[in-house]
Amino acid sequence: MTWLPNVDPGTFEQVMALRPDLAGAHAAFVDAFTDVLDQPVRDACRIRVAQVLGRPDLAADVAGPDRVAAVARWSESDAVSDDERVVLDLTESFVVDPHAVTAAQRAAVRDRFGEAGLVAVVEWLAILDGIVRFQTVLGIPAGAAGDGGS
Amino acid sequence: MADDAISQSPLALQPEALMRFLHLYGLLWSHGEVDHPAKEMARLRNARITDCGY
Repeated sequence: MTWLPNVDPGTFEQVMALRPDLAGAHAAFVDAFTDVLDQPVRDACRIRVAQVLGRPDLAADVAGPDRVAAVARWSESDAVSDDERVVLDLTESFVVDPHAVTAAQRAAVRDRFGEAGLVAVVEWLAILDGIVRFQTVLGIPAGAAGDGGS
Repeated sequence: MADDAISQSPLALQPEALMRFLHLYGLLWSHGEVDHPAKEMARLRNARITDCGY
């Protein structure tokens, strides 16, 4: 169901269009990470954040079933790169309990991406976490979402 | 000021993202349907729950 009955069918973009000034600024913020993090890493984060927050429909919006399944089994899957693996390890802790993120998890991401890269990864996760929670609270279904609108 | 604290935080390592975030954050605080006290109450409650010093 939707909590916004006047927004039909309630896609992410349609809901954000209720506040066009914020929609543009939000999209620009999301776009800032396009050149900072590689798309496979960004997409892996999108898939895993959606999975951990109980939105498999949003994960399925990002990639095909093989890729989605590989990310779900990231710790053992050969289809997940080493870059993705260290990020996904941090991703799970970030979403479940940010206080549970360990120094080793931070160091693993920093060692592969640098300090600025670690900041970018954490910011990207914050964006995705917020978007998925936003879509869940407002009952917004998957589909018709941009790169950040997972 | 919150913006100063954010600007001097590790977020500054991604200056383009920081600039765009501050623009979005400023819009959230300066415009909209929700009054300022309600936004501040939500901000404080969020910070308390997440144990955030900001």
